[in-house]
Amino acid sequence: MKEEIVIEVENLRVDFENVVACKNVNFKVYKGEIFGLVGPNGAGKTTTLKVLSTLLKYTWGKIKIFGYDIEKDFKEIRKIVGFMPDFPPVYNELKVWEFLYLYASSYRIEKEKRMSRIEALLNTFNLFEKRNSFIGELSRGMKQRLILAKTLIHDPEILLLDEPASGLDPTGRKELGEMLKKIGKSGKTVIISSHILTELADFCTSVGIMEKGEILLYGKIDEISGIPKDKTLIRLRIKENIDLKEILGDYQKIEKIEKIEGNCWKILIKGDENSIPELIKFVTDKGISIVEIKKEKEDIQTIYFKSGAKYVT
Amino acid sequence: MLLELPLYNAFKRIQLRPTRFITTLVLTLFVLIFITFILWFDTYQKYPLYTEIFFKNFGRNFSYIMIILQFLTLTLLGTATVESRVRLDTTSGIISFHKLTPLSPHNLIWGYILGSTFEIYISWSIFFIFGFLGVPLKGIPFYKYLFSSFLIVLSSIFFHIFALMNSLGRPLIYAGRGSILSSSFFFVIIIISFFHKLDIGFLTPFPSLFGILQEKNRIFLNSYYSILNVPFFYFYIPPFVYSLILWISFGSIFYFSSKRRIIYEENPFFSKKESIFLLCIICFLVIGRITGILNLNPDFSFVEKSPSIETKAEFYIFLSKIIILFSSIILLLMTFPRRLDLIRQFIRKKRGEKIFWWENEASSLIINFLILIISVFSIFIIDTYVSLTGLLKSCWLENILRILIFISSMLFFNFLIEGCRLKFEKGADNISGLIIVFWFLLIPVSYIIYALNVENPKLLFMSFSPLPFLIFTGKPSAEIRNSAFLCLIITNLILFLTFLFWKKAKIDFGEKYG
Ligand SMILES: Nc1ncnc2c1ncn2[C@@H]1O[C@H](COP(=O)(O)OP(=O)(O)OP(=O)(O)O)[C@@H](O)[C@H]1O
Ligand SMILES: [Mg+2]
Repeated sequence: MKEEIVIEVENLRVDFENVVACKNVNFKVYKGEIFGLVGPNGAGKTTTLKVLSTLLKYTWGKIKIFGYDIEKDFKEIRKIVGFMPDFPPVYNELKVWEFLYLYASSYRIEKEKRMSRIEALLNTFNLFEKRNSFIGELSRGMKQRLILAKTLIHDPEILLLDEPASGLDPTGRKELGEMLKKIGKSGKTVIISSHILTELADFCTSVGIMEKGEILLYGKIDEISGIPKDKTLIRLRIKENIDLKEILGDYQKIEKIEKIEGNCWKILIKGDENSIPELIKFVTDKGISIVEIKKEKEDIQTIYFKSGAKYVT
Repeated sequence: MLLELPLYNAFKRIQLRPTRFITTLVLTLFVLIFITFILWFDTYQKYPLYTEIFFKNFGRNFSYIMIILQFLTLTLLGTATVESRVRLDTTSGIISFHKLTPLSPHNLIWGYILGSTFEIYISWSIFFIFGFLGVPLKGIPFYKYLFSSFLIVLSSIFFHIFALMNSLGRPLIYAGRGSILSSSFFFVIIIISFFHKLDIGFLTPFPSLFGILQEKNRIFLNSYYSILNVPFFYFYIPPFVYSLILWISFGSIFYFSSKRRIIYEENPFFSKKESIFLLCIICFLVIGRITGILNLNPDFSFVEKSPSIETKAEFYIFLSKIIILFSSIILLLMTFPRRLDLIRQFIRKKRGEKIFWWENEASSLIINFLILIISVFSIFIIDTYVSLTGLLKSCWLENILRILIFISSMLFFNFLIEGCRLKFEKGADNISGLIIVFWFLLIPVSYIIYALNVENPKLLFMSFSPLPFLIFTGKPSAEIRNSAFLCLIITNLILFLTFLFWKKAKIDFGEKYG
């Protein structure tokens, strides 16, 4: 099946007065993907997202969103894009429902449907009890959720979220992740930026690594992570201080083994996760006691290192 | 059309909250009562100089004052409000939300202009309605009053569009650094040029108002005061027509620039097309004016003989007095919301939120700053003009004292409020106690003592006012001069103390929040 390209960025360059915020930025995002844009402070993530949201004029480059040219058809694009900036701006003097109502009418949602749409969103984001409070009285996390609700009010096809998880507590982050997964499954495309790798690891399906205004690497996580589909990466900690490489040398499913630190090992085996019990059995049979075993996910951190980026946050 | 502006509705909703609405009403009425009171108090002055002339024609002058107040609220305050609202929204980033909606740029522009100044319209309409009282009191004719108000509305729209264009994409961070000055600078240039009879003065409604409000003349061509008509190419045109030409031509360029700039965040001030258009208009106007003057050669000496010269001093003095009164009251009142806001800030801080110290006060800070600059310049220029033209003798000292005291008291108040606020962030100190002691006790008590000492009841009255310069109306006397010095010394002493207090609080605050 050929996937539909939703966002296509070619040779994007953005100049500010004395800095080049983005240069040679190239990437593609497919429909239904959750694309994580990772990079240290000042990498140009916000700038890229602002360009994609049609708010910022770029120096040169070619950007297509759903086939629309961003320069010519920015009006069409604004209708299908939902943008959430890094610091959620609100009107403190408005009530929660009034804020959503403002954007419901700005997006020309029909009058009869506005309130039901707002109520649905308030319910999704657990803000229904707060609907009559002034926004100034909400906590940071609540404001963040309100902005997310606002971003979704016109049911956009593409979501551009700039560091949406900042200011959220662990539960909030988890809920956000769940929500994004749901959004991705419903066929919408999400681009999400962050400078914290682990924040993205759980729910991103593809990733782009940015540094100093350039994309160093991008693609689907399982494609660029170096873990092929039919293989599994395992992290294993054992009690004894021995060389596991020697002992497992004759186990034919081993693809690669390497020591991380102390008694901790990284092992790549053939087959999917069903072959883990077999490995455990093999190891314990050799008289080695396992302290900890974990299946490593598509490791965004390793990708990050592989990309050659120097700064990690 | 208005009903379809979501932004306008949102701002209106904000400003129609009972507390804000009632505050606006009360403030406006307070300004009205205060000014009427001061005018009335003037009649009891020992030295009835221009006050006598003023009250000979009370109805007319009352309407004049209402017209000036309309101008001050709608144009001055309104411009400052638009400016601060747009800057605030740029800083917070919420303006980009509006840009992203499918609303047209027109929609956004009018939303900002009409919505954010909604409060101003309430005050304006009170002044407007109140001003009709002057009509039956042998004041100016009904149609002239209406037409004057209409001109003020037109000029204010022009200035609001200018403020919108000027502040689009400029965050508040620059507010203290001089780019905020551009708006006030614009005003000051206009005020100066108005006195020098330069063309840019026609951007204010005043030249047209002078033409219209003169006795024995019609709204259109005024043959009696030929200086009031504008020679343009081969015709004399009425000043309001010339003002209209300026408002419409420059206004439309500013409007197109705003319209373009409200779409993207980073964009040049004027595009190539707009620059060319602007140049063309300027060329057209300059050529028109030069040809006009060369062809028609208006008789400038005529104005010296004109009977209006007597009433000029009276008018200018009242103009400057009203600007002072109005701006000081507004400046003082602007700090009330700030003080109220402290409580909310404190709650936010307790919750562990990061607060930027200027976040909620930004708009009132901007308005304070703008009005302070504009009023100081206006007073200075008006007074200098009056003194220089010899309309009133020997008021130099008073003028300078007046301005010094005005600046001191305003700075004092700002430092005090800021200092208290910064101090309050740390959860220390008793603010209300400080304000009461400094403001309502120290100054009045010293005045009462002084007044009792020199046995002048007029100075007793002075002690009720935190702004002693208000009393500087009549012919200068030794007592008033002495009291002015005293007042200046006390105010500056306290200003210095508050400044130290503010500085310390700022350092403490900086240490804590970086
Ligand atoms: N309006 C602006 N004017 C001038 N330079 C800017 C502007 N906005 C961003 N920059 C510069 O562009 C570069 C990229 O900034 P950007 O905000 O895109 O980084 P970021 O990846 O979002 O960083 P962070 O993780 O801190 O949010 C920085 O060097 C920044 O200084
Ligand atoms: Mg950023």
